[in-house]
Amino acid sequence: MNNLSANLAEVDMQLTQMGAKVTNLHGLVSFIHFNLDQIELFYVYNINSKNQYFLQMVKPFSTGAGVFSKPQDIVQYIKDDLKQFKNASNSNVFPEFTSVNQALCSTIQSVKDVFMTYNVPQDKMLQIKGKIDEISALLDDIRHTSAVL
Amino acid sequence: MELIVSLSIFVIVMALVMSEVVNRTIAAMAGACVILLLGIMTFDQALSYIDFNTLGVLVGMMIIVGIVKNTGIFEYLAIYASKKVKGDPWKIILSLSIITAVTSAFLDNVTTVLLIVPMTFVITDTLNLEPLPFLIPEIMASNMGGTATLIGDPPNIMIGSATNLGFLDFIMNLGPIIAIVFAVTFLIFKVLFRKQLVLSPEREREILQFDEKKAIKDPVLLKKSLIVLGIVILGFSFHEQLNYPSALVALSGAALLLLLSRESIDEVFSNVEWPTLFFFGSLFILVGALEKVGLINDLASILVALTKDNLLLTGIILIWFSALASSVLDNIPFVATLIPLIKAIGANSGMDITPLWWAISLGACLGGNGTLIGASANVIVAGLAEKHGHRLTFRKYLKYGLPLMLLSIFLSSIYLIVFYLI
Repeated sequence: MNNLSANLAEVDMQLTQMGAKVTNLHGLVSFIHFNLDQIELFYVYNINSKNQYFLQMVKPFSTGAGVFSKPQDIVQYIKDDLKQFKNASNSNVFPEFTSVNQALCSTIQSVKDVFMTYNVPQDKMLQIKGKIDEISALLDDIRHTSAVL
Repeated sequence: MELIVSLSIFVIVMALVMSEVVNRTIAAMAGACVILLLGIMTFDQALSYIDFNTLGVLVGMMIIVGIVKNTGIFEYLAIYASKKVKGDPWKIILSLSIITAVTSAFLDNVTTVLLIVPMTFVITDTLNLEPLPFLIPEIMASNMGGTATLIGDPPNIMIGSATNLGFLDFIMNLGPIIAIVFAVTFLIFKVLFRKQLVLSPEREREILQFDEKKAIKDPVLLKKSLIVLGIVILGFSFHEQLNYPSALVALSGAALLLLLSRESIDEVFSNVEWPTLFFFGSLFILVGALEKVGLINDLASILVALTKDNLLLTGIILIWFSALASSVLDNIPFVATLIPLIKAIGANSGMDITPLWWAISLGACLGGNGTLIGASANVIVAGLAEKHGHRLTFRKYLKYGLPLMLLSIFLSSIYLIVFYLI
């Protein structure tokens, strides 16, 4: 027992009183940092005693990569990611790519905030969905009409 | 030559431990290894000085508490107590302090405050009250509770291990004075803190909204834990009659609870404080070296000559010296050194030294209340408070801790004089 477990206990007590079911597991956290030419990649993964691996990309944009059950899966995921980023860094729109992704992450958070705070009319909600469908269609078009890197 | 070397190594290690320049476990381990490397004692001799009974009690209780804390029982008790007293701040302080003292009588003080203080923060945040009037009494309660039993504080575990004093001996001889000291201390706290505990009715209602039943995470594990704890307490109460060392009771309880709980062994053992165990082991070797070279026996002879075989004088000197030293120094190395010294006094003088054990126990354990650095539990609480945005400074604590500690030692001295020393 140490100060960390005391801090955990304080948080858990409040969440439990809010109605949450809280499970504590011992685990290890690893921080992974790649410094490529044009970009920094930063991941965090957590291994717990139930042999679950939670991987998250933190930089260049925040996204949950998923839950894995084998260490090789995490390594393979990061390997594939790294290859893609290295490829993508050859593109002449790479700086715009990272800012687009950051903007998307920020927009997701905004959608959540607006939906949770305001009484959003049905037509506005459908408008938002329409815009997302437009972006998906544009991405499909790019897939069909552009050369592979 | 061996005497000078052993003493020098001991003094250097103690200086490093007290100054916190180096982690205490690292300092003690390094010192013990130097003792062995220089051939002052053999490896087998070193092992013979290690009090494995003390280590066994510590390990056993660490394993037990590592499982029990997962049940949510401490959170339950904190909420139940707060609701039972209808959110009255002073009564919450008293209830939480009683829980702290009782828990501390069976678990070590650091573990106790790590369990109780987070609950205290949630309660004081809900009541919108300053936490320090809650934390300072809890610090003192943890040190008091630990004084009352064989297993409540490492000095008592070491004393019990070195002597024939059992669990019931500690309760019957120290329990009454601890109860008196607790009552007097908390009467004084009530007067000191009364102006800081003004509560609004809305906040009182909020605390009553808490549901203590939600706190119990694993009711089945809780039942099993309480049964095993009951068996362990019974085991401690009768360990002398059963001729079982206290470590066997603690370790058997731990094994039984591990078997019944089916908790992951890795998770449970991560609660075992290995640095603390290695610190103890190394310290026993360092003190053992002083014994082997005859220094302890020489010191005992000097003390006997100075006190002229007078039990009263020796007892009073010991309790006050232990208390004042313990208020600024770590009491574990201090008591570890005193134990062979007291035994040597007994051998050299023919006095009944039993009262002297009570004197050291009261002095070393209650002395920890004197300053913020007097006990590890005090430092831990100050650290948690700072992280929570409330600074418990050395000076602020000293205003309450030192006078109340001196009062407790004064009361303890009277108790010892009346019942043991004359």
